[in-house]
Amino acid sequence: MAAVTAPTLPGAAIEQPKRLRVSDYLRWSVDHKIIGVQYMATALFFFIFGGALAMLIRWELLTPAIDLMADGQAYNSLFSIHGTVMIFLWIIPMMAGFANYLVPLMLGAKDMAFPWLNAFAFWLIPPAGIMMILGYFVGQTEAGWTSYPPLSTLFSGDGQTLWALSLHLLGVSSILGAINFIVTIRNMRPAGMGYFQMPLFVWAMLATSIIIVMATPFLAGALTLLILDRVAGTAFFNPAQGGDVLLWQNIFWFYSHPAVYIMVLPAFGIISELLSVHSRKPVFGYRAIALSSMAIALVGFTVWAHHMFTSLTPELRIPFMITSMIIAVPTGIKVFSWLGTIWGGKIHFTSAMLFALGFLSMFVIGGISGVMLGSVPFDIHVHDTYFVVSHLHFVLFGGSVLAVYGAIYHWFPKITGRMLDERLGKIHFWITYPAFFLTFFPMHLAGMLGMPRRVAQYAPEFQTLNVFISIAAFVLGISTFILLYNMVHSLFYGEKAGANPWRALTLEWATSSPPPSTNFIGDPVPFPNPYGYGTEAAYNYVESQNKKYGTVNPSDYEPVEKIGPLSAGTE
Amino acid sequence: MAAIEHQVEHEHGHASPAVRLENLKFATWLYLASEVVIFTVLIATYVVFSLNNREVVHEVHEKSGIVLVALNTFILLSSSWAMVMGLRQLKLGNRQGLITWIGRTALLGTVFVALQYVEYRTLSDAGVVLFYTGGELSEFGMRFYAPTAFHGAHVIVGVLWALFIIWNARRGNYSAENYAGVEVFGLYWHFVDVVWIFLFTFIYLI
Amino acid sequence: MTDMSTTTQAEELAQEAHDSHSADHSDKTVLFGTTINAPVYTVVFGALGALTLFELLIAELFPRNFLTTGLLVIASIIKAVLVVLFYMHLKDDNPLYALALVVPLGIGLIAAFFLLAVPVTGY
Ligand code: HEM
Ligand SMILES: [Cu+2]
Repeated sequence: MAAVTAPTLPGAAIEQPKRLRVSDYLRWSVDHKIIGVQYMATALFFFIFGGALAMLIRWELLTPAIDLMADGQAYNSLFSIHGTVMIFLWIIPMMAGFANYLVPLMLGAKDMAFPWLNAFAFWLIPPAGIMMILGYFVGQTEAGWTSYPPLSTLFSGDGQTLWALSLHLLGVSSILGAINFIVTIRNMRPAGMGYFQMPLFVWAMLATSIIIVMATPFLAGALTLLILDRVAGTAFFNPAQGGDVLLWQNIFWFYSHPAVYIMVLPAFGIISELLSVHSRKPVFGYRAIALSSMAIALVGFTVWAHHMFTSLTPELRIPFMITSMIIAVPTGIKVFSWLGTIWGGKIHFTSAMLFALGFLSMFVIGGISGVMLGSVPFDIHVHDTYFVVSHLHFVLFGGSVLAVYGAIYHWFPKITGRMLDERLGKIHFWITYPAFFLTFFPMHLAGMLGMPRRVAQYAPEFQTLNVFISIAAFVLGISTFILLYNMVHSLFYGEKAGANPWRALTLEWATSSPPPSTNFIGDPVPFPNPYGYGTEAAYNYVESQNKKYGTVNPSDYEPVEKIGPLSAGTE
Repeated sequence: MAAIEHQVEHEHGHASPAVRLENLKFATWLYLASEVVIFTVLIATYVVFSLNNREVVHEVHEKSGIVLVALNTFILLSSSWAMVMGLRQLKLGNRQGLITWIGRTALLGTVFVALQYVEYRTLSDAGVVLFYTGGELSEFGMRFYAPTAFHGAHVIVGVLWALFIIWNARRGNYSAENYAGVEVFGLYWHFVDVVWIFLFTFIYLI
Repeated sequence: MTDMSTTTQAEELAQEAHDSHSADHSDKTVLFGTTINAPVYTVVFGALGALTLFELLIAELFPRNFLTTGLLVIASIIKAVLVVLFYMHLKDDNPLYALALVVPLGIGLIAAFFLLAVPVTGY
């Protein structure tokens, strides 16, 4: 250690960035970029696993009888693990992966505030994942991702205990990660960058992390009680022995409604970046987008009982209906701001942009069905039916997953130094997008006609609908492999990306792709408005950057003659 | 090659003590934020039961008596005081003072845990147990043991942490300028004390 | 274009925080005009002990009713605030840290009050 203390001279001391090998990603590392990729790779693995389970679910539902699965219990395990894996081992870690990679870069920092803690938080995930999968094979993880007692306490088997332990670990991991993000965002910003000059993705991560720190402990508390009930013989959730069965539902939703925003706020952040960059326009209503994330974070804690309209005392329904309507407002503000952002922009229909637009359209449908569910009379009718399944997939797949896809097309060049194949990307989009819609939209209908969720056997009159849904779902499943193929192929044969292929203004692009291990050579100079696209200053800023890194990028991104009229749109 | 790795380590690992202190303190407060949530849930679970079952609570209070927990409360308060006095000594530049005071903290923490064990024995002999045995006392039991034992676990962790601080201090790792590690432990320990202040009032007095 | 120096927010914060703790080091404490010959931490310790005794007295001597319960709760809150302000240095630390206690406490209490408000349903 002592031998090398010479200070790094900008530009001089750092030679060619060391080319990372696969083995570098399998080892403990405190570099946030490596950790980010570790998160993403792990999450993608679980995405494939959870996706395979989804295919099995749809296969089972091709017929009204139980045929693929041995019995109802086996089917229960199937959708329980599918839901849990998708939420806790795919979406949340995937977002954490992007955030790990991007937040320090976007802030112009060398790393997170606590690099060691960052690595530690990541390394909790693989054992938790293994435990979860083990739980599946041990069996009888039957209670769904919501794990309501008494099914989760008196009936399920050891798999359920492993499930709870695994979630505990994942919770610890995400709390540690969130603390790290908040400290990084507050303390590692360069002195010249105020909160309102941060990229919106960073804002989104700030709001997300605040929710994680305050909501996840509820889950931890509830899981502790659940585990005690299962293994120590307590009866917190068993009314027959003096417990209260609704206690779980209350605490769980007190965590889990805020948690749905943990899953979707980072996606909001991604979308704000993508829309602005690919339509070459400043974000419309920057402050509105930034602050509505905070509003969502707080109001999100007051709506949980809308998941319990059918189990609560009736007097409490209306208050929660009102708060549920209120929380749609900040989300609506964001949607309008995004529309304002692309309005009159010079839209480039790149794959990233297509997915961002896909997000916009599908998420709005999910939001609308959310408001429908939030109104008591309607919810009483469709609670626990396929309508809910449809809603949650529109917000989580149509929302978060499409945003992740967009983010992959957008940031893959930064992370690997290679472009993804745009043609394959468009094919991917034009299969995924309709297949997604055709899979999940008809579920609204199935739900309203009365098909319950979480069943392997259903009334024969629903079969046509279900066969249709299943076929669309298989197409959707297969379309994922286009992306996976594209990623693997482009990693080796993709076009070289250069530092800033999209001529974006945020700081992660102000360094080589992939960035050197210290992130920047010298100190990066942020552009005052991270979204000041379409101005001459922005044009010159990117040009000077290009000179520094010796890269050229598509000239049609910022035609000089177009700059005049567009600059009027600057906030 | 090795040079680059060392330099990377350097860039990713270390900040100046002042910056490190700022970062660590903020992180600790955020960590405490999530602890607040867990303890609130556990205490609330107890309080709901206690308000609805006054006679059971009264019966248990009769059985347990107040002397032991009162003593324990003073012990934990003293340990908190010892903690902050230790930090003060360190900031005044007296490392030996730090070691002495933190040693007292660890000792008092240990006594606290021991007395809590005695208390648990008394209670479980009187029928207040964690498991369901049929009867209101065990309904009380699970709601009582969950928050107090969770707190006790925090005290145990704290004692181990205090020993670690002493070990570090003996190796000369702290100084009047470099006290982040001690300060952070202090935040944790005082927080555990604050939790006990509420547990004491809500569980043993009310 | 803003000129960006290499300092981070943390460095500035650290600078600000540097000269705030001063009263802690004194051997004397001024309380309501009188000077006590002990560091402030010891005085706070005394107050904590006194409040605990007060609580014990109330709890042992009087039956539990609205008033005594209220007094007990208030006494415990005062004790907690003393520890947080003086022992955890919130008194002269960044007010942001107070949010880290108050916001989750508020959220936790929403949950707690809700649980209180709902009668045990007997489901
Ligand atoms: C516009 C605001 C929203 C409102 C008013 C809303 C309302 C609701 C309601 C009332 C339910 C319960 C339906 C039932 O079980 O009967 C529900 C379920 C659900 N929502 Fe939303 N929602 C909104 C947005 C979101 C978002 C943004 C997400 C995720 C990113 C989400 C994820 C979910 C999930 C996962 C469920 C299913 C929970 C389960 O498994 O039972 N919602 N929503
Ligand atoms: Cu909800």
